[in-house]
Amino acid sequence: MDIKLENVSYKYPSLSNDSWESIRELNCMFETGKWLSVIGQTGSGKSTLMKLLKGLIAPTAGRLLINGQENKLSKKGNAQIIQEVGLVFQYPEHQLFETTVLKDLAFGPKNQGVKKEEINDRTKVIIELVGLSEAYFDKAPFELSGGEKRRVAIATVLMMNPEVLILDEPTAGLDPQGSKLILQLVHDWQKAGGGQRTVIFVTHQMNEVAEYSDEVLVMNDGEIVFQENPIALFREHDHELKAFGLDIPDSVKLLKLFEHRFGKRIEVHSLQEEVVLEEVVAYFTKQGDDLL
Amino acid sequence: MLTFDNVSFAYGQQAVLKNISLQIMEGEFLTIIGPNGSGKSTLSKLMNGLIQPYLGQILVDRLDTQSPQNLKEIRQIVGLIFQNPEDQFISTTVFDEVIFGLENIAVEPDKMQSIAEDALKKVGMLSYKDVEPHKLSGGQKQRVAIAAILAMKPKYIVFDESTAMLDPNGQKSIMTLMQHLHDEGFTIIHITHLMEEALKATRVLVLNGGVIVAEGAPVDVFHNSRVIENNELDVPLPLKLKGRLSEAGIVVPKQLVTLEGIVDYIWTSN
Ligand SMILES: Nc1ncnc2c1ncn2[C@@H]1O[C@H](COP(=O)(O)OP(=O)(O)OP(=O)(O)O)[C@@H](O)[C@H]1O
Ligand SMILES: Nc1ncnc2c1ncn2[C@@H]1O[C@H](COP(=O)(O)OP(=O)(O)OP(=O)(O)O)[C@@H](O)[C@H]1O
Ligand SMILES: [Mg+2]
Ligand SMILES: [Mg+2]
Repeated sequence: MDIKLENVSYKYPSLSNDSWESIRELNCMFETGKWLSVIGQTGSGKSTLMKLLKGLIAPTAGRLLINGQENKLSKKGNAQIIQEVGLVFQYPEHQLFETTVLKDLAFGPKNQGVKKEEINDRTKVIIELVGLSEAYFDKAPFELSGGEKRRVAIATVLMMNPEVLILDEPTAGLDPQGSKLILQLVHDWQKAGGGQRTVIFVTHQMNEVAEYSDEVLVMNDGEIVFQENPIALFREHDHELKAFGLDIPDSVKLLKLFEHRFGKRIEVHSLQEEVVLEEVVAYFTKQGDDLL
Repeated sequence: MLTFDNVSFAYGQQAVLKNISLQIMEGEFLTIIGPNGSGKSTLSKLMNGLIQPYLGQILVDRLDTQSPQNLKEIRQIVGLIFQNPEDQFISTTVFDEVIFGLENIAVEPDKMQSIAEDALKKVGMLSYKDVEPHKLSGGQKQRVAIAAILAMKPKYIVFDESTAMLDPNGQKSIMTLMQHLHDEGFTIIHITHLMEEALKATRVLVLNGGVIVAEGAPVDVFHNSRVIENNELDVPLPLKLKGRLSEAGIVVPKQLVTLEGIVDYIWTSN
């Protein structure tokens, strides 16, 4: 499913007239099958954009196109929720409202008319996928720790088999291995979809962006300032990123320090920590001699 | 000094903290890490008497958290910034949110305004003072929650994952703020899942399954690969690089824990 924004702006209704729009004249394309990471300062409009992509709110100007078709307002004039898009909210508390974890997991697919046995099967697979177990089924969501709530919130969205999975800071509050597990599972989930599954991933952790993204979208003050592949973005635009309150991943910092000190630029095919470590250590050791 | 003496805590039947004995000295910068659900937030709520242990004793500067008459004073000494800022908000504007805390402690009314403004300025949220807290973005909420506690100037400040929803600049500025507060003599207790942040502490404590499983200077804790592997943790990139280099026969001194330090060391030692 391709999602396209044409000149989209959004202003929260409660904001007074003189205060400006939270999203301003966005033009961009979210292509089927890609992993797109979204970064930007606090308050730059990331969560607002995610709500627009799910159809929870409608643009106050411009158009949202789904596979080329405009997502129009409902007959009552409300925003139209897009069923194929799954959104994991920034605050998991906003997603968990049933009395038990199991009921929360079943809620979405039940509404979609999925059969009971199928729902049962899915809950068992998905609770394990997010690193929890069936022992959590009967717990009340409010009794969970911050990270446990986060995992359940992600599970409830996966239960609905979305075509586009939007994750708004899904790793905030997860322990390091938990973050890796969640990102790896999203990656595997995407790969299992035969190129049809799109991931839109909001994060403040540049290291996570370096591990997975096909493309990075940078927001600043309600506008998109970059949409680029991660290698080009982080290696060439570090000054601009810093000016936007952002940073570069540690792997790129290492490449830059190396380049600065040894006067040699190492070309890499990926910014993944493992890839960069291996390249740099190889220079320090084997090829170190002719370098120095 | 904050003392936990053989403290156990349970939510209903579920034991969450088991026989915790711990001393936090004045002027420390203690960082607590450990897997999701290991009991970090529970430990923090015990520190200011928000919840009570079923066994053991917690003393805040000799005040027992289990004596109701001590609670008012304890809350003033130990400031707890909640993991989810939304749990903390009760007022209709950002400014009132900060004022609210001050009204509960002995602050002269004519000073409140400037104290609150100062605290908001410290976290870069002064220009939002008339906004309703629930209309803020995630990171903005986090900053307001910090300001509300800072305004009360508690001697011990507990940051429960306060940097989790901040952008890189925000993360750095809150870490810098913690370091300044520490320099000024405040005791900092910082719960985090970000390993680079843990390197800044004077002492790191690893919690797992409600038990303290490791404790020590950050470099020592992170050099212990068993501790890292058994507790869902990770090693910050500089230490990974050092590990790889040492496998390749290049030994970098233990105290160097930044990428700059390591690259410079190799550059100059050749
Ligand atoms: N419900 C709301 N009503 C009014 N204004 C809002 C509302 N939600 C967000 N805003 C404002 O819109 C702007 C964009 O907010 P948004 O939540 O999209 O930011 P964000 O990029 O997700 O930030 P963060 O990284 O802190 O989560 C902010 O200035 C915020 O104060
Ligand atoms: N209000 C509650 N009622 C019942 N059980 C709870 C409650 N709050 C937490 N728990 C349970 O207690 C354990 C410890 O929770 P706590 O919030 O202290 O963990 P944490 O280390 O802070 O985790 P995280 O890193 O995810 O924030 C978890 O297993 C959690 O499910
Ligand atoms: Mg947000
Ligand atoms: Mg917690």
